[in-house]
Amino acid sequence: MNCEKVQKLLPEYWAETIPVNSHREIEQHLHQCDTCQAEAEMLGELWADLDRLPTLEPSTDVRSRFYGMLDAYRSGVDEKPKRNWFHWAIPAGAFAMLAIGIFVGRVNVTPVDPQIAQLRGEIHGMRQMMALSLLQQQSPADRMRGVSYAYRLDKSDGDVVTALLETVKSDPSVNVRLAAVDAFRKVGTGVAARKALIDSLKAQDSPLVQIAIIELLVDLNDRTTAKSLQSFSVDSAVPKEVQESARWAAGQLN
Amino acid sequence: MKLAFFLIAAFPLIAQQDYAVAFSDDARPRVLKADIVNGRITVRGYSGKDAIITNESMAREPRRLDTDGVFSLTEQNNVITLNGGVRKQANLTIQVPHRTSLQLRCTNCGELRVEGIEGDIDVNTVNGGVRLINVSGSVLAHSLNQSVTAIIDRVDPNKAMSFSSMNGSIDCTFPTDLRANVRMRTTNGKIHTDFDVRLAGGEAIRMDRGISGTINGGGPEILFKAFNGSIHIRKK
Amino acid sequence: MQQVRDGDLRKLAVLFERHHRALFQFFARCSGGNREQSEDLLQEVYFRILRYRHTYDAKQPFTAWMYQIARNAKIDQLQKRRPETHHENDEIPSGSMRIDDKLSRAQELQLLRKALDMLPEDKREVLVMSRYQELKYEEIAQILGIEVGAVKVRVFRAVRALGDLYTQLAEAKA
Repeated sequence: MNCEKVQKLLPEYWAETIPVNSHREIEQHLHQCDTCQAEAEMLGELWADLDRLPTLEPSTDVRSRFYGMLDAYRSGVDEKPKRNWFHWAIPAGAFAMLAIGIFVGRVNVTPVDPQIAQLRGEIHGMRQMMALSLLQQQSPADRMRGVSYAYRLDKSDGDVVTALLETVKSDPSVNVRLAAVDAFRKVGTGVAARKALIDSLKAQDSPLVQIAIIELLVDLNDRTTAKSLQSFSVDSAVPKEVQESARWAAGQLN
Repeated sequence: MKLAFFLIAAFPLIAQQDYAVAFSDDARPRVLKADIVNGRITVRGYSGKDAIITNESMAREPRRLDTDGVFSLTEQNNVITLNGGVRKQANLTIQVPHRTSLQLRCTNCGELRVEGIEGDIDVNTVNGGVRLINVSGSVLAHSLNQSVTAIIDRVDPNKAMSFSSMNGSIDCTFPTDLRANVRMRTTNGKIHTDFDVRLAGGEAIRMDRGISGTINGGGPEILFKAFNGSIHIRKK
Repeated sequence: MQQVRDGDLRKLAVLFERHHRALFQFFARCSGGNREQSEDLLQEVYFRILRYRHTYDAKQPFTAWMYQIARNAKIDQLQKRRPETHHENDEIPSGSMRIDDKLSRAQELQLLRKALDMLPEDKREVLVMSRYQELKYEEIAQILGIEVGAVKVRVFRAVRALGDLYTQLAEAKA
């Protein structure tokens, strides 16, 4: 085996993926050839050291970005064209979703350009997708972000309301539940949403969340809820402070 | 599921025992989950790679170490899960690398304390206060019957925070250059803030029990919710 | 991937969970640690996989096809912006320190990292593919469109170039 042939096989030799007879031949050559021996040793060490360089890990954002993209794609909203648009509107390097938030914030409520209106519709659709996929994530911080997205939607959407309701009822983190109740101010002001919220009061195990729901109902100023709140306030299974809140609320709404 | 810990010190008569657990892959994000019914948890960030759990509960009888009596510990895929304090008190001090995410629950704890951690922090206690010192990242902290105190080192513009308590007060300290969108609400308490909060225009929110607005132009959302307690927001 | 091509788009999530970390690290290593660019590229690759799913030939191994898309995306991105190498603030693991040598272990690794970043793009790419991405030579050959023998030569030459750069840097430091 000559020098050139050996060199070609050295990476496999170092990785130990080389067949036995080639291995032997290489060793023979290295034994005889000083230059190859020296080079193989030095480079071999570098090869091994490459493993000890620190690896970079993807941030937790990549997952929500991916799922947001997949969901948006699946509903027929094509994310790609907007990317070029944003690279113009926002400094390169802004996280794509954050860019949407910043951009939409600057646009007036009544768009003049029909193209912008259409774009905003698509952005709204994408925000919904982001909210929905984030609300299902494992990490409470991600679900918190999902609620933030939902809160910033200016129109309500059946799926988002359902997802938020589920979050209010059963999210493992009390704080995420509280944030979800807050989101209902913007998104869940319909009759069905309100009814669902009241129905969830009894089964809610965190008194702080129960009170948050009651306070929300007062702020929404729906007189029809007064009666349910009244009966709730005399339900002995309910913690005392929550009963008091319900009583106060019923009084406010009557 | 893998039970992967080894004893550092095993003296049955001495009250303190240490366990070290390695995370499967210390280059990837780490999570510590703990659920203690009776006892106390303190989590401290340190510059090592493993999680070190110190059990400071009193060992009543001099017998072989049996963590099952106090708590159970498993590690899988970089998530360390700890459950305990059911029949006996579990007073635990856990040291983890500074960048670790935490999900901690403690029912009857003296105080749940976290120091020097950067990550997604989600803590919930029933009868016990929450004290977070020098933390950053996404912080969700709740105590049902006692106070929540936090000193936040750094606020990440992409991460929301939320602090809540039913029967305790909320006292949070932030860096002076804090930028945030805040919502503070308490039913039977007062709200004090060192920061100027610019009230949000256009938002139809009743102001009688709450303040909603931006600090220094706005930023990530920080929510504060108390019922029978006050809310204090301080500058560092 | 066949399922994705035939219409079950949700199965892309499986491909994401399985490969995204390796893909991300491929981009990160080729770009000298630029996290932001690498995450953008990662997103772009999966988007293109969706978009061009009908061009996937089931007879070809998926990873080879995926890396072809990855390389194309990388080239496209390069054309759009000026490449910036910027190092994340990683800690180099301390390992064992050789007291008698002029350079500490941590310094050696730092120089190695620098040498890797200074390699010309094509050499670095083939080195990363063979050393880190667990791709067989046959797969790399397919991805690059060259013969297997040529891949082996390229990999060796890349290591040699790495060694030259490393030596230069080490001598400059000492």
